[in-house]
Amino acid sequence: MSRPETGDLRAWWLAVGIALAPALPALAQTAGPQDAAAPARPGAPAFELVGPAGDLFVGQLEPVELRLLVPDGVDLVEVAPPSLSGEGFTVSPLANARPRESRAEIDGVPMTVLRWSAAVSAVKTGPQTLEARIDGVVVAHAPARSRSTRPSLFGDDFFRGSLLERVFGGLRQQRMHLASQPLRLDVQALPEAGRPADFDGAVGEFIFSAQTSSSRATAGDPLTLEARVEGRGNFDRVHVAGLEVAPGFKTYTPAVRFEGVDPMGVRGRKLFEQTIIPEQAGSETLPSLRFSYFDPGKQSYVTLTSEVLPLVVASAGQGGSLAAGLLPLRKDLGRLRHNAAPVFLRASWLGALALPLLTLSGVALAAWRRRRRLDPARARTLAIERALEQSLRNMEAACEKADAPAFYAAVRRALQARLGLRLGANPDALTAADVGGLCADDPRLAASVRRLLEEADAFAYAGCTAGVAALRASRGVVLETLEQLEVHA
Amino acid sequence: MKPFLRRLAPWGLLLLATSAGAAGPAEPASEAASAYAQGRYADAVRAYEGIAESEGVSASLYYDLGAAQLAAGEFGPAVLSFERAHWLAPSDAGVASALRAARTSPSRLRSAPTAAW
Repeated sequence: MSRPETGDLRAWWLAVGIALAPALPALAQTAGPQDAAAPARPGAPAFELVGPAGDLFVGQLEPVELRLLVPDGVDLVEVAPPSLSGEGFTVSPLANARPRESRAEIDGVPMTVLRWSAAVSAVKTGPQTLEARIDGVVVAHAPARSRSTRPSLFGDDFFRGSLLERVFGGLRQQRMHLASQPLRLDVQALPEAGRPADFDGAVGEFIFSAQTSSSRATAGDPLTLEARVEGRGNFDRVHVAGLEVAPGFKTYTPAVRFEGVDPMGVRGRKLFEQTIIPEQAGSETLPSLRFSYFDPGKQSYVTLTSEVLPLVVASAGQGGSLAAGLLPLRKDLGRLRHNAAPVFLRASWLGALALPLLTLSGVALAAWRRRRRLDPARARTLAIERALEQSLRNMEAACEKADAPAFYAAVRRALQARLGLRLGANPDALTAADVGGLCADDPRLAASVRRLLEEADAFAYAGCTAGVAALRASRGVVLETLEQLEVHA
Repeated sequence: MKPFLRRLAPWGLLLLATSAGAAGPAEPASEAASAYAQGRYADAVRAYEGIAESEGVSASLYYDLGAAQLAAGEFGPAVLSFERAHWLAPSDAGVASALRAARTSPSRLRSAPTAAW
């Protein structure tokens, strides 16, 4: 592996105390033109491209790795995904946009290594060059005392020994532009000699196999013939034609599927699934399939052939009357269900999902009702309302019995209750003397209430009596007064 | 003993009801298969659709319905039926093959009895 080479660090600026003043104007100088081949300065980040060693062939797909080496003492504030360029190559997108991070110690210097992967494929013959570049922003930490005696991390002396450096310890934010050392590769053309007729550009190392979904079939019953190419190489050029014309079979265009083992798609398997239908009963053999590729290791073409696959085809039985090509029916229909909707659309599932929500709502409702029940103001109001209703019932009963003291006692309680409700006060504490102040906005109503309360006092303490007719007349006045008190409330 | 039998009785009734339910579609299914074998594909399609409506559906029923529709020249409904069968039984290789075959080249799969245009 080649040692890391560092490009220059250009257009950098000082940000004294990043947290305090990150947007100080660019005060520093700009370094000279980029020199990608310049050796990395000690303590500075380095960028390297690790690729295939030796020669390549046109079409050969190879993985490459890009490594950013960040020594301790330098913080990577921001980094853009690196770019790969080379005129004679096609470059796949980076397999990982976010780098893989690891720790390493190189030449005794502990550092963080960020890695990206990609794949490149040679498209032009001759000497070719591949380069990688990366941009970012770094912050270097350097103790002020040591910096005064050692060369600067980034080769500048602008603030050496200055007040700012002594105060903030020499934190520097710098824009970073790094280029890797060019990777020089000699790309060769694929040889003409020995090129198979069915060669379609596949370059790599592969193994090839084919199999059917079953070695026994029924005439007219579709089978799947699966051809599989596994290994390492440019899978986009891997093609298997499948069975094209086979006597006794109906064949269809293969469905192609690729399963990559690595994110670059260099290693993996490509599957060609072809539906075939045997048309006649008997013992058949499926012709072998071929696949040709160029092996760069052996520097020669390779043709792989699958095994001949035996197949026993039974007659269609009931389908003896079936014309070839008709699908055989299934005698067992299995368990029939009226609701074939997927589970997540069924009412039971949706109900199960709603259950926690309903439970939560119920708990919230119960909590609200409990809080309401325990509210002292509301409890007092309810008690007064109950007392009022009871007083009205007592009043009616006393009226019918011509029991004047009981009647007026009920009238007093009813009026006290209604006034208590209206004023939010304790009904038992209200007397005729309070009424004037309590109904100041309606003197007529206050007079009526006062008169009724005085009558109640008279019947309670002076031993007055009244007949049923008088009590009924008073009842009308009482009810009217209570109604007015309620309206005014 | 009697309470024990009384406790078993509902389960027995349930078992009987289930068995009766399972035996339900056998006859219409054989009628549909017979119609298919005799080349009366439209009748087979109707019979399978009747089973689906009255008895319910399954992957195999949709497969058979798709086969009958394919034979009757109803390529779109056939693909839909195979899709439904595939939805109910994603790992059924026969259904997947039939679906692929119906999608790839439906006109080659059978000798169509009618061509309206």
